[in-house]
Amino acid sequence: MGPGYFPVLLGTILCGLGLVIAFRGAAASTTTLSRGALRPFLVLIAIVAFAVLLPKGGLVLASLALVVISSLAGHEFRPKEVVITAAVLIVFSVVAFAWGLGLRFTIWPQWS
Amino acid sequence: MELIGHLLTGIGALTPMDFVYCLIGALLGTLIGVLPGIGPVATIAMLLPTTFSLSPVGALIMLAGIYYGAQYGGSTTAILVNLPGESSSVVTCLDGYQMARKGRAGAALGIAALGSFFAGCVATLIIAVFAPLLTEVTLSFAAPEYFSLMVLGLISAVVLASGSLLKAVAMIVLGLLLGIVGADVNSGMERFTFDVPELADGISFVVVAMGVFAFTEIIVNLESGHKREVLASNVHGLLPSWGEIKQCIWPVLRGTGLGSLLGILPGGGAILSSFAAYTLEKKLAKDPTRFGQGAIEGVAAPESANNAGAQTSFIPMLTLGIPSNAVMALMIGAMMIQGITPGPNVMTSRPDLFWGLIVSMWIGNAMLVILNLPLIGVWIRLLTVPYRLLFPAVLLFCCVGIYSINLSTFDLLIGALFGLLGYVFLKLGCEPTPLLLGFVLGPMMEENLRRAMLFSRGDPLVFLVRPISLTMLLMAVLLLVIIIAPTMRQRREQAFQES
Repeated sequence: MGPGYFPVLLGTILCGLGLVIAFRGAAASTTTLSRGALRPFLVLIAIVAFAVLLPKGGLVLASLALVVISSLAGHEFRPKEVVITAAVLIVFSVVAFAWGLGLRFTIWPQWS
Repeated sequence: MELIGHLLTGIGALTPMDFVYCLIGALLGTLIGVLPGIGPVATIAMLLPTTFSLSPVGALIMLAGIYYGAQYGGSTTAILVNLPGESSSVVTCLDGYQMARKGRAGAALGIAALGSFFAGCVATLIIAVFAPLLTEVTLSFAAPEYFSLMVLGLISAVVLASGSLLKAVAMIVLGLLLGIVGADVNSGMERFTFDVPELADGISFVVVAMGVFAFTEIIVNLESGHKREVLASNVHGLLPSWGEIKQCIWPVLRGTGLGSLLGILPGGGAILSSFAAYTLEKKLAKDPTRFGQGAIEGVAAPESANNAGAQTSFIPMLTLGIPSNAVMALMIGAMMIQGITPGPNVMTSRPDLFWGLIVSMWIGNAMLVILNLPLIGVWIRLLTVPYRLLFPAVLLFCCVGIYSINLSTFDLLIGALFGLLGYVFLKLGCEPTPLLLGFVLGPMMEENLRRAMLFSRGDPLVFLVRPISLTMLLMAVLLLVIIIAPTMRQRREQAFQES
């Protein structure tokens, strides 16, 4: 019972299931997948931006990027509202997470 | 009388801070329950990293409070806005909103809260009575029994869920595979890591949960873009009339019974319970046409059932260490963070935790019913906050949460990837819950499989020779056969379409 035993077992089952699902899908009448707008996926970009900015850019900058980019993903973008939301959230997360819960964050950008 | 002693142990285990955590959890649960688009799964996942700093009892009490609190909050939105605040209050919309339109919103909210409270109390008692019995049975289990039990648990979880059975089983297997990414515990060999050092420790459970639930949920909500209309002005007089209460006594009792029963089953819990209770009331009613027109029984029964189901779904988690739904999977995650291995040993090794949690459910339910009725005005105000202001906040808290587990930005990228995957799964009609259940059980299942095989020197017949193990496997097979049989399949589809 080596380290590969369970993965191989599962992989085989998954292949089998996948084949059955694929054949049944091919046999069934075709249904077109409703394709939504691409804008909501900006949410994922926002997460990636947060991840990239956090270590050097700090919590403040990363949160700002996250809020602004994710707000673009919504239906309406109201600049004033977004700025206020961002400000409130940044203050909250610095106070609550960095100070309150003592999570170790870089807060301000470090340019060195 | 042993029971009273146990409950006293529980009360004794609670510190004043635990009461505060209970209150925070219950209030937060109600809050996110009220808000459509944010569910208990995402919230608990979000808060999981912050529970590092709490005591194990405090952490579990707070997270449990979120789950049952959400059941209370969900009904408020369902009744006033005709939108399910939680998926478990979908059926409450049907009659609750109609009652609100007829000016009986107060009565609907009142009966929902009172029914939930009653159900919560009964369900807590059921946990206190049955959990120890079940634990005793499972103490004799060895590796083969555990493996078979997990197979049975996973299979019944997909059978009771809606959607394609085949896809659900495939999602479980995929979840199991994702769960064992990283170094093998026995040999140290790395599996599925693609030489990425960050993957050597495996994928964090919180990351997967947040990806496929929170992130995907946000994308889907933004895609559909719902509008809300609040019937807030109609709320006055929260107490139902005496006649209405009398009308509801039996529905509440039936809802509680049905919910408690369905909650214990793997895959059950709040959602299934509420659907089943509504269907039952409609079948039993003298005049079924009243349902959908504002029948108070149509609010009372499912609201009692979802709260009862939410609570009894703790039983398999607490006694067997097996999650019956996504929230319970997160509770197991929370226990592991605290260094507690879930399973039958929890009750004997940590009685303070076990009984403390149970007692806290009572206290939490009482807090909810006392606080919620006066606070309804606040919740209604909250509903007017547009989603475009809410989701960036949710997103930020999720990201901070993910980052704080390992202080790793790599986890954030993985989380985003799971968000995308979750979206694809949803479009393909594959449910994320079986994936999460598989993910949590993956390492445990492998461990027990290998231990069992080692014990039998590689003979797979070990699972069939031991009677308890064989029984469980046969039950799993039977479940699959029953559900694949054409007549049952139609009925299952009907049951999920009914409401």
